Amino acid sequence: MLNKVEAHSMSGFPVARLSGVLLLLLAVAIAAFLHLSLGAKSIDWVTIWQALFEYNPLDMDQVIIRESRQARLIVSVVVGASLALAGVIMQAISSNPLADPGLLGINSGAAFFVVASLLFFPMFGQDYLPVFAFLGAAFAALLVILLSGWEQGSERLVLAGVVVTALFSAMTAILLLIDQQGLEKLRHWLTGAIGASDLKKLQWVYPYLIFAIVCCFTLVRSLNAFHLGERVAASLGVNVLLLKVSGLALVVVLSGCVVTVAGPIGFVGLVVPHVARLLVRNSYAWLFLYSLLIGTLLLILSDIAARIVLRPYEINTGIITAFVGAPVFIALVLRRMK
Amino acid sequence: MLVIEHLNAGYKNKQVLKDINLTLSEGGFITLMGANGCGKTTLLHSISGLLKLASGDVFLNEVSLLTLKRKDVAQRLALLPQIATTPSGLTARELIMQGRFPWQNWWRQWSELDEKAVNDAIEVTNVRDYLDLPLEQLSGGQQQRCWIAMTLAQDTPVVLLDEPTTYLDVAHQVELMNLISSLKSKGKTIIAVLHDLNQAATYSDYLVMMKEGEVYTQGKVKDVFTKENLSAVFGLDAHIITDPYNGTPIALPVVTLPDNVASTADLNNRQQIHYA
Repeated sequence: MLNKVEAHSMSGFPVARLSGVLLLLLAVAIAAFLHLSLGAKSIDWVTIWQALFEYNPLDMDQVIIRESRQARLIVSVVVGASLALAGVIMQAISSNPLADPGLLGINSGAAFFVVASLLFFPMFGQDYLPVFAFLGAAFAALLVILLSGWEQGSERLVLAGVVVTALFSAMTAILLLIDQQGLEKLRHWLTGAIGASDLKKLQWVYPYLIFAIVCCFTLVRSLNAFHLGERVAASLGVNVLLLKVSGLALVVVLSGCVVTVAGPIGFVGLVVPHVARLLVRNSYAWLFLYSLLIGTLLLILSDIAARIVLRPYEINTGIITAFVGAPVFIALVLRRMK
Repeated sequence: MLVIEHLNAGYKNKQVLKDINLTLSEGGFITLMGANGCGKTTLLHSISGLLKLASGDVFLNEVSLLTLKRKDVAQRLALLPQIATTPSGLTARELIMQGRFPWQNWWRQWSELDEKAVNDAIEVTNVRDYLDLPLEQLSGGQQQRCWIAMTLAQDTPVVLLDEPTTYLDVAHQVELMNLISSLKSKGKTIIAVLHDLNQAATYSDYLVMMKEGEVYTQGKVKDVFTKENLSAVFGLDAHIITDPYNGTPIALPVVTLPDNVASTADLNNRQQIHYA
């Protein structure tokens, strides 16, 4: 009898977890509809429905949905999901709850390389933008590791990240000064502008993104073991170095893709894993899934806010996520100091 | 049989282990002893591959562990390192189940064999009562039992333990040592680092005494646990008596009476002995 009970709880069907996922999916769906409906001009739900399923190109409202808001929505989903996954991985492999591709300079490294490539190597097509973004992200990551020594859970990691972020932001600002007119559009993009992005940019990056997201889930078992501590993981048979390098590579690809599409959007990777951990704590498979959905939700809501707080003007989505993320960051730091 | 040949290892600028040669036979309880910083933990880490060797080789049953993948090492040899922090958000059972890591992969997740190994480990370590409680809610002794259960669930012929009784109170230490020594009867080879001299003498079959990164002496407890060796390895002045109940040797540190002038060295040495 006892054994039977145990067998059940060891491989039992996770009803609570799964219903949480369904609830989150529902929330994402509602937020998505809101996203399509709200904006400079409010559009009613019937028109949204028609635009999606019985498209009539003569109706201007339906055109707005199809041509502008739908693209924004898709980009928000992709950006939210990718940044959230990148945040989970970064926090896991650095054993540091403050790790985030934005805070650790990876986003700004990618952004600098993208801007520099547009300025100095215009002969490469725009298809190469993600590659430059990856290079920049990887370069920034290496710089942070060199500066911090990759110590477990160390504050030096965050400080190094701040320094690298400042460095790349300054260098990007210099580039923008050199070419004022040509890069006016970039300035907008550099504060994390989903509005400036379109589906074409997504086409450059989606193969990398899909590959990276699938790869995240192959790290689950090793990450679960790594959660017990680096030494325990190693003695359980985890190749710790390989885990860290592949985790970092995934972060570089995910952040690089996001930066290419929407510019450096911060704090999503910091906030989302902490929220997800309030709901699921013991398995990275579920943590990834929950983070992916919560990140999506956060970005859709942020993008809604970005479009309606100063209606009819728009602010950049990255500014909204910073407003949400900065208090969380401060709260995390305060808790750590105690 | 575990054979260590010309092992040199250390950290960045400091060589810790100098030309270690050891042949440890299968079965039984082997204890590594020595003063702080003599390289006991470094040796355990070197054997299990946590630390890259500068030179030398480690063979388990004539297979060089250095040539194996991490997972293959973990199927042969389990190490429980010193645990500094309790992982958050796990129940005792979830921790123990992690011990099956080296036997699984992403297409073969949870088998009957895994189930059996985990149940056996739970049985031996007697952690059934708090299996579904979060680790954070358990006492130090209970947590340590769970870690040992995880290590046992790994189901390896050789188990390495790094100071398994640190931070536990006396009753829990004894309980845990009894548990560990009972593993011998399951055919496992236990290699442990122990700080408590008398615990080492009571429970071990074989002692390896280390000094400054080298093996000072090794052998059966009765042959090695002597006044001379303790003095040489620990700088400890102690009488050796025989435990009237177990027949094992016991070290009684020579007490400096208050009217004698106690030198600081003596005081330091005395602090290293915990009375069990």
